[in-house]
Amino acid sequence: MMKKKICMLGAFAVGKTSLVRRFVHTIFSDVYETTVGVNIEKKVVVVGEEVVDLIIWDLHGEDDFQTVRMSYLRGASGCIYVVDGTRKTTFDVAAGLHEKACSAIGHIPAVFLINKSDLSESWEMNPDKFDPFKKIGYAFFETSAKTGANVEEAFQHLARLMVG
Amino acid sequence: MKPEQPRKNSPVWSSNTREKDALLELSNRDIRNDPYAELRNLITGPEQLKLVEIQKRLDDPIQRAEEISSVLPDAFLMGMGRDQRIAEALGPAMDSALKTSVRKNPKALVDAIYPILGPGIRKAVAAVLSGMIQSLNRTLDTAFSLRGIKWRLEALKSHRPFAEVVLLHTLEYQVEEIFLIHQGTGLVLQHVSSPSIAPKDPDLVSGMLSAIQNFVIDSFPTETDTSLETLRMGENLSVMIEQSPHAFLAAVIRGRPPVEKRETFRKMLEEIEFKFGTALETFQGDTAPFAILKSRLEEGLDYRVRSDAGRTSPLLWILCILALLSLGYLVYQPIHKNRLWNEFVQNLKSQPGIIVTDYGRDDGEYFISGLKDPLVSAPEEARESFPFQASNIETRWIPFDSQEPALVLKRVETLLQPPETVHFSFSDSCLTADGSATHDWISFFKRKAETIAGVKSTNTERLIDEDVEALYNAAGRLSAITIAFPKESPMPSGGQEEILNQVGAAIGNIQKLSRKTGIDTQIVLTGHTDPEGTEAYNRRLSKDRADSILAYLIERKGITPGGITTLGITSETIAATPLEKLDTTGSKRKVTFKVLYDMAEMELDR
Repeated sequence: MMKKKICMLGAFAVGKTSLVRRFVHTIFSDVYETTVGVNIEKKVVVVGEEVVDLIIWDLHGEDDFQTVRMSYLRGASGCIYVVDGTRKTTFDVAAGLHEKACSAIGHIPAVFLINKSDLSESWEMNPDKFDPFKKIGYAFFETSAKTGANVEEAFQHLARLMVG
Repeated sequence: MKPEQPRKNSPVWSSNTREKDALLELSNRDIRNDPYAELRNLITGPEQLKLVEIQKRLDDPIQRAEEISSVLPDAFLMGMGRDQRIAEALGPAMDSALKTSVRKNPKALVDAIYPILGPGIRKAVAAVLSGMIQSLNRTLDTAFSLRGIKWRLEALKSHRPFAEVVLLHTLEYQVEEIFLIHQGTGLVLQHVSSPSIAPKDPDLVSGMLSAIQNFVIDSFPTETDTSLETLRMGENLSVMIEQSPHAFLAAVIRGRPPVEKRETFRKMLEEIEFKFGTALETFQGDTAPFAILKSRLEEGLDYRVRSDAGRTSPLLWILCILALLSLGYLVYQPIHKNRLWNEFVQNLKSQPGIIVTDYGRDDGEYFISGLKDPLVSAPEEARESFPFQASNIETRWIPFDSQEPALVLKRVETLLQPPETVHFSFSDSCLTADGSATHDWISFFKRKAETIAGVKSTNTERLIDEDVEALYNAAGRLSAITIAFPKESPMPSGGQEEILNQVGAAIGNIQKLSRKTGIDTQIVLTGHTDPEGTEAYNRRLSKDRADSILAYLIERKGITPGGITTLGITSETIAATPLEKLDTTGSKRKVTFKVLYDMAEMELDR
């Protein structure tokens, strides 16, 4: 049995927990509950012929008052950086977390999720900002925890990257 | 210059003397042909010979084995002292060798481990029995007590098995779960849990444990390189954490574990780190190599019951006592039954009228056989002396007449039916009868007694014949009666009817008893006169008087004249009669009565 640790990173209220719930439990709730510390969930996926347990560490969102503990990232095989498409500052937070993570645990497989695609008309994200990350090989997914769009695909993509 | 490599079959690498000699010959030939070879031989000749010797040693497996065997023990000792690599390396080889040896000759291994097998089995059995007794004790202790009822309610409310609730309350501690978690990733490598609990997803729990560790270390940094050792929730639940370079072991413990428990986990983790150090170091998420650790971790899932829970339940004591009593009864019952049986047989043997010839058990049934007088009651019917149900014994009695005095007497009593006035005694085969009985019964006794088994003679000296006695008594009463007559009259005086009735009754009775007893009697009626008158006249008158009475008795009282005689007594008769026989009482004009039993007396009277 293969087990892989994944960390969900991003600014507060970008929808990390909602994405995890959608992926793991196939549910969505409009009620916002801030994550304190870390939530851990598990989902079994199949990559090729390999059955993989994804242990998903849903870390609390980073803001002006609290920063993500890099020790939580230790041993992670992959990261998911979540950006709220309706708040352009959340990309900067994600980029900052990416930089901190790389310096803490090195370069590991990762994907970027531009969340809340169900509110795409309200997006204020400039796609050009993603180019540097795309150039170094990161995949970007426009997701919606509410509708489930691209959520499964994003996690599967990361799983494939991790299992190699 | 590149050194010349030895060729296959080169004499240089050969190991036998012939090849060595060939080498020397070749060298000599080379020397003869080549001055350089000669020079080389001069310079390196001794070393080449040494090389040949060394090569020979290396090529000879026997010699090499001898050399290795001399240093191998020291090498093992040095290696074992340095680290565990030799043990690790030898482990699989020894396993394989052991399996092969067992396959070839299992008896050798059995003989080798026999000395430890017995104690080992005994210890295991004792441990299992101890566990069973503890479990039984605990169940009994809680089944009927107030505390037990409380716990049963708790089990109902919490929808948990009663046994689990009892265990929780009586446990000093129980290791419920053990997680082996990879230090770097926080991923669970192996997890075991007690069957009595419903574990949460170990992946999530281990992840959270890892997160908590990280949180604590980040939030509360210390100067020394310390780590989280214990998580405690309330008084009853804790998580004991032990760290190693590549993994940490978290044990979820309910209750208060002993201090040495941590040492146990530490050793377990050290062992895992030692054996799986490389696998842990290169862990990339594949937990398969750690699957074999499951049984090792399960060894840590133990528990200890509180000492007071080890107190023996009164119910257990009672049950034990009852069991012992039952066992004692089961053991005692056959012994007791056998003892009763022997006593019973001995009693029978000593009982008159019974001769036991054989006894014992046949197909589980008691039997007894012998001789038994019919007068003796059947022993199996005497319940007070017979220890078993009559149906449980088979009796085979042959009837016989016992010569025992008591039984002879009993037989006599049964056959002779004596009156209550007769008592028997029996001695020296002689039956003695005391008391009184009718003449008929005495006759019967005399006829029958000596025909009874065991009676050889009889004694009736002290046995009174009641009919003879009555005869004598009637005769006595008759003799005392006198009938008075007036002067010169042959007829009795008036007013004597009552006396005459008595005379009639007495004579009738005497005659009857005489017939019954067979004693010949003669009743003499004697007439008397006064002295006045002539002798002849008086003779006639006295005789008339006796005759008149006899006639009266025959006519009026129905007396038969047989055996009755009348006499007239005169002065001559009186003169010839001895003085002591003369009736000198009362009036001289009378009739008197006399009963004679034999002729001689009659003659005398006459």
